[in-house]
Amino acid sequence: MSEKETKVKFTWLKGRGPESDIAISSRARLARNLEKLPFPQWAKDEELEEAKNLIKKALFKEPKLREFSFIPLEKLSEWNKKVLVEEHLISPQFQAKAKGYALALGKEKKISIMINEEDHLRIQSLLPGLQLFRAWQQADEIDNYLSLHLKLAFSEKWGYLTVCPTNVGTALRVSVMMHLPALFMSKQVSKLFSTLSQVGVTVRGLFGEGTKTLGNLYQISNQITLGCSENEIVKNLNGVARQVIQRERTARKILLKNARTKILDRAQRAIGILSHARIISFEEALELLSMLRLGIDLELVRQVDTTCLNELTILTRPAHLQSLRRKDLSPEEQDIARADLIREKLNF
Amino acid sequence: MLCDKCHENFATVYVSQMFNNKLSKLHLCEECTHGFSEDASLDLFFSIPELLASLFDLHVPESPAELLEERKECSNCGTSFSDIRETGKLGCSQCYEVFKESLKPLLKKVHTSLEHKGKVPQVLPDRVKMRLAIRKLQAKLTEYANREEFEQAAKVRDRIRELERKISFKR
Repeated sequence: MSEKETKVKFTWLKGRGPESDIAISSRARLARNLEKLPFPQWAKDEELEEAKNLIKKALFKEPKLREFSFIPLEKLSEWNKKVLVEEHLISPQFQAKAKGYALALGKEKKISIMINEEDHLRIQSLLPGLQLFRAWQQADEIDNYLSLHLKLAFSEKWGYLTVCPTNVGTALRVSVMMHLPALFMSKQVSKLFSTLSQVGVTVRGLFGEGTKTLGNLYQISNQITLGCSENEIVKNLNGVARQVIQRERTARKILLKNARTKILDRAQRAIGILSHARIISFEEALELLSMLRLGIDLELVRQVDTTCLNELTILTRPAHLQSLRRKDLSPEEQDIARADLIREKLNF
Repeated sequence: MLCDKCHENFATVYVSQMFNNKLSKLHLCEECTHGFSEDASLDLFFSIPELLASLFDLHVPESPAELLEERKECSNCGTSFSDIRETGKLGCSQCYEVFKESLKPLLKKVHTSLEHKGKVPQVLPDRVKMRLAIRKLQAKLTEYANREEFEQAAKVRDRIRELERKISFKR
C-alpha cells in the first residue's frame, strides 16, 4: 500500500450520517471460516497460506469483488498497520501478526475484509452516523459473492461456525460508536449500561474490547449471535441506539436548562487550551474535543465543522501523527505534534 | 495465581460478578481492581474469550457424553478440550461436531438458544441442504399434529423419511 493510499481521506468519517451528532459511526462485522482448514490460531504456516490463497482466488474470480485491493500484511510497514488500527480498519491483535495474514480493502475504505485474523474471514462495513441496516447490507452482499467461490464452515444446527463460540450462528456483530457527554455529566452512564446488558447489548470503550472509555465515546454492540435472524439483531440494536440517542438528547436539554453556563465554560476552556496548548496528551485532547463538540452541538460556541472533529479523533492518535510527520516520534514529540495539528486543523 | 486481567501481577482479590444474569468469577491484582467499579459493565475490562474461558470453568460436566468429550481430540486439527477451555477458542469447524455435548450448555448460557435462525450460505453441500429441509419439515409436522391434520402430517413424515434415507445413502 503506497503512502498515497494512507492519505486517502477516510470517507466514513467525512460523510454525514443520520444522528451523527451523537452516533459517530455504525459498523457491521460478519465472521466466516473455511470448512475443514484449521482456524488461524493454531494453523501451521502452510495452512494459513492455503486459506489466504483460496480467499484471494475468490476475490479475483468474482467480478463484483475485483475492486478490492489485496494487501498481504507483511507488505505494510509498522506505521501503515498502526494507521489502519487507528482507522478501525483492522483490530489491534491483527496488526501484530505477519505471515499468512492479509487485508482486502474496498473502494473508499468503507468495507474491509480481514483474512486470517481470529477467523479466516472477517467482513467489516463502516458508515458514518446511524446506518446499521445499510452497513449490514453492504457486508452481507460481500458475503454472498464470496460464498459463491468458497466452501464455508456451516452447520444447520449452529449456523456459521466461528473460532469463538460466542460468535457462532449469524456470526454478525453490529455496533454503534456514540458520543455521550451529557449522560456522563449527569452520571447516568453506569445505570444505562447495566440496563443495556439486560437487553443483550454490550458497551465498550473507544478501541473495542477491554479498554477504558475516552472522550465520552462508547461503542454499543449486540451480545447474542445465535438464535435470531440477522434482521432481528440489526433491528434490536438500532432500536437500542435510538433510545440511547434520545436519552442523550434529553440529558443535553436538561443540562442546557440547568447548567448552561457550566457547559459553556467547559467548551470555552476546551477552546482555550486547544487553541493555545503546545503540548497535549491523547487523553486530554479527546476530553477537550468532547467538550468542544458538545458546545458546538448545543450551539453555544462558534461553529467548527464537526467532520473536522471526527477526523481529529483519528488524526491525533500516535500512529497517525507519526505517519503525517513521516517519522518516529517519542511520546513527548507526539504530544507536541498533536497540539500543533489541533491548532492547525481548527484554525486557531 | 496471576491476575486475570493484566497477567503480570499476582492476584490478591477475588471478584464475582453477574454478567448478563450469569455469574462469573475473576482473580485480580490490586492495580486492576482499582479500575474495576461495581457499576461498570464487565465488558469494559474483559475480552470475550477470557469470559468464555471462565464460563467453561464454571460449568460442571453432567452427562456421560460430556465427560467423554473431555478426553477427546479433534481428528482434523488435533485440538483437545483443555485447549478450548483455556483459550475459549476452537481449532477448526470439525471441533463443533467433536465437542458438541460440551459446547451445548455453553452456547445456551451465552446465546440462550441452540438453534440457528439466520442466513444460510447460497452454496451448501447437499447433505446440509437436506438436513435443513428436514428441520423445516419437522416444524411443519408439529404444526399439523397440533392442528390434528393427521393426513397432512403423515405426508410430511413420509417426506422426512425420504430425505433421511437419501442422506444415509450419501454416506
